[in-house]
Amino acid sequence: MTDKLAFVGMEFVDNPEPRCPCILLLDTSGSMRGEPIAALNQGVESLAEELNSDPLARERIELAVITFGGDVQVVQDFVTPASFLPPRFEADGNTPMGRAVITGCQLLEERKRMYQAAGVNYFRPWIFLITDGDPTDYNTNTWCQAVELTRAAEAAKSFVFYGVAVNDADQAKLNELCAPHRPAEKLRGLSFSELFSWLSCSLRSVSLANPGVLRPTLPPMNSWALLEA
Amino acid sequence: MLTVYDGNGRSFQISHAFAQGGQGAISQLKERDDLCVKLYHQPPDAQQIQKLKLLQNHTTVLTGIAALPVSLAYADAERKKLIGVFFPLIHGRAIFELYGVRSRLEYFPDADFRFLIHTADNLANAFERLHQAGIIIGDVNEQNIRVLPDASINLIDCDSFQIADQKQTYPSNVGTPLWTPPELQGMDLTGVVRTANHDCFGLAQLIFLLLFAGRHPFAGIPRHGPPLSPEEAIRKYAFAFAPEFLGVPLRPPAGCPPLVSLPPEIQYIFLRAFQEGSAQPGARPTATEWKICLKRLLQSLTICRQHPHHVYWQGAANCPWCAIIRETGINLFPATLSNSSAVGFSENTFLTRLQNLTIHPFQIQPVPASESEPDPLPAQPAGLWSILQRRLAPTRWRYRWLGHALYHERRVYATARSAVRQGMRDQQAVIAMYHEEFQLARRTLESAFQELSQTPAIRQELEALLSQPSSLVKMSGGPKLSTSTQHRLQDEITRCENRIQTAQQNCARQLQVSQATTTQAGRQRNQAHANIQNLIQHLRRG
Repeated sequence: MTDKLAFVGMEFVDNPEPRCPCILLLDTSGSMRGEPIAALNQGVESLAEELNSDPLARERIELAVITFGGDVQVVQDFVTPASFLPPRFEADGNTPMGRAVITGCQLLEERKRMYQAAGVNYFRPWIFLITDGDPTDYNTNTWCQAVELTRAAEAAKSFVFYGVAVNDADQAKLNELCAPHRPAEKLRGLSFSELFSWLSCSLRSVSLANPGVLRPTLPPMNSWALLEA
Repeated sequence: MLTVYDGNGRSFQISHAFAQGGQGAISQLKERDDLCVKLYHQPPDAQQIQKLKLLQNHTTVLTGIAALPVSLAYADAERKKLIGVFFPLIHGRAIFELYGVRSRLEYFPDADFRFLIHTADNLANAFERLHQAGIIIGDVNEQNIRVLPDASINLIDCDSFQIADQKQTYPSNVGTPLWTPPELQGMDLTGVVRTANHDCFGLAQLIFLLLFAGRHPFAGIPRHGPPLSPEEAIRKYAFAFAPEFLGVPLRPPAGCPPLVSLPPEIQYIFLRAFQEGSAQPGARPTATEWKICLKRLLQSLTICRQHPHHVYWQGAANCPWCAIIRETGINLFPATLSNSSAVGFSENTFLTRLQNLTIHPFQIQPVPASESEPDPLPAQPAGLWSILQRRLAPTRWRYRWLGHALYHERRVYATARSAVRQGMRDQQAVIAMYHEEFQLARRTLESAFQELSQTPAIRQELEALLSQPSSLVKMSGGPKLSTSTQHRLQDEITRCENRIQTAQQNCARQLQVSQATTTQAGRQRNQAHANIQNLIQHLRRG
């Protein structure tokens, strides 16, 4: 009886549109305190809002949020923008970036299995990591595992990994997670709102292209990225 | 404000762009609400112009089928510089907003299965008329077909159609992978001459999406082997709903109506459209064939005895929409607020009541991005000093004239914009809270059932009931639950219903309030934006 009433993949029954999953891995460690965390909060809010304004994208895009500040937390599991409630982030603790990446990959794998079980197509997922710090689990097994995971995934084209460095983040360490052809970008000042606006545009163009298209044209990053001379 | 001229030299003022495409932006006109103009980023070449002219020959005949060019658009009254083309402005919603269940409940709340078949029939009719006129659509997709409230169809973005004259063919050049037939998958479509048989692949897909509640015919669960990407599935003719004996590597996902819920002739033409061999010229069912079959389907429908909003083919073994409710708990054709009071459900059948406990598809109302007419400019400063300054230091004069207004408008814009954002955030929070409350109520109900069903006697009763789908129909005559069980169930459901209803009412009320203020702020924002643009334009003109 209970089985028959259970919500098995309910969201795919009345919305079988192909999905475009995106995980935000957000650094909420102590160093983000003050202005950066406020800008981040606002950025995530505007992201959800912009995604909601596109009728087809809002059926297709799914957001999940994982924070790493002290510990790693799945703040929001995958939902479409309409039911996404922008969380309020508080900055505290150290920077377990490697663990966060592993958690993100697991969450994504789980989601992909759900898509497959529900018979719903999906676009190449995105993992979007934003940090201002130095990974505190650097040089541990966790970190090596995280690097291995992202590298293998890039090689298998199973997701796209973007790293964004804020302020004095250690870009070299971040680059270990990124694919060589897509190194980490440096955020200009605290232009989070431009960053998330870009992300929203990109996700929309990805979700309106077609599942399986590897490289739809993305808008230029110059509104937020500090381009190296 | 830009002026464009039509083929007769009449001038039109452009009001605002409402859509951006790869080739150009489409704008509304100030004087006419039945026309729009597409301005190309690159001036069209001789080929394109010839194609637009050829299409224009069919405009009158195909009115109400496709928004074909009305006239070419020029930058000057002498018609020397061609910059775009005038199209009829089509309202309605994109077809994906009809076949998608959530958006259907929002924009077409009264549309039942019959409405969807009507739309499919009109779609087939549109394809038939275009093909008869020698026009191939080429880029069939979910975004360039509009559906009006009466289920009629209009195709837009028609400058990508393929058409021929005595000398040559003007190809479509574009396509969308998810909508491209197997034989063209992965090809560069530039210069490829398309056929009606190619179009009929897209037509069959659209009809499938309409009849199967937004399910994609090539999205399924692998029977064997690795999961297929949609393009691979299309290339391999892996029609997921095909009967198993055909050896297709995919099977249908859960929560879909089965192919056999439709008449054999429709099952058969879906197979002909999607299976191997359909790439042969003329092999796929034509638009005319679809029309005949859909018309016959419209005559052989029945209404579900359990859910008066469930319409299905009378030859089906049982109501496919009820089967989906039993399988997933989701009602794809629920009674909507507008029609539920008229129907009167049999209040006593608790399973029906359970099935009707579905989440209401609340959506955030996007704020229209359209620009408004700018307010008149402030009065020019008077006096001798002003005249002198205008002559000697025009920039400064302009700034004295408009600077204050610009400063003011910018502040209005910033305030309104943040009010819009706040409004959207509020709406989102309200919807998220409703979802949470719904899940919570549902979970309480589930645990109540779990508790109930642990009593062996009740468990037996429930299982007997559920194993017999027909018992749903004759609750009064068939196997019955004991009165005490019924009472307990009724109580639980009533509590849950009330809770969900309250949550839904609260959500609706809060959304309404928030939407009103957000729309108001959006209007202010758009107005301020228009004013700022206008002021800046006048400040720079000097």
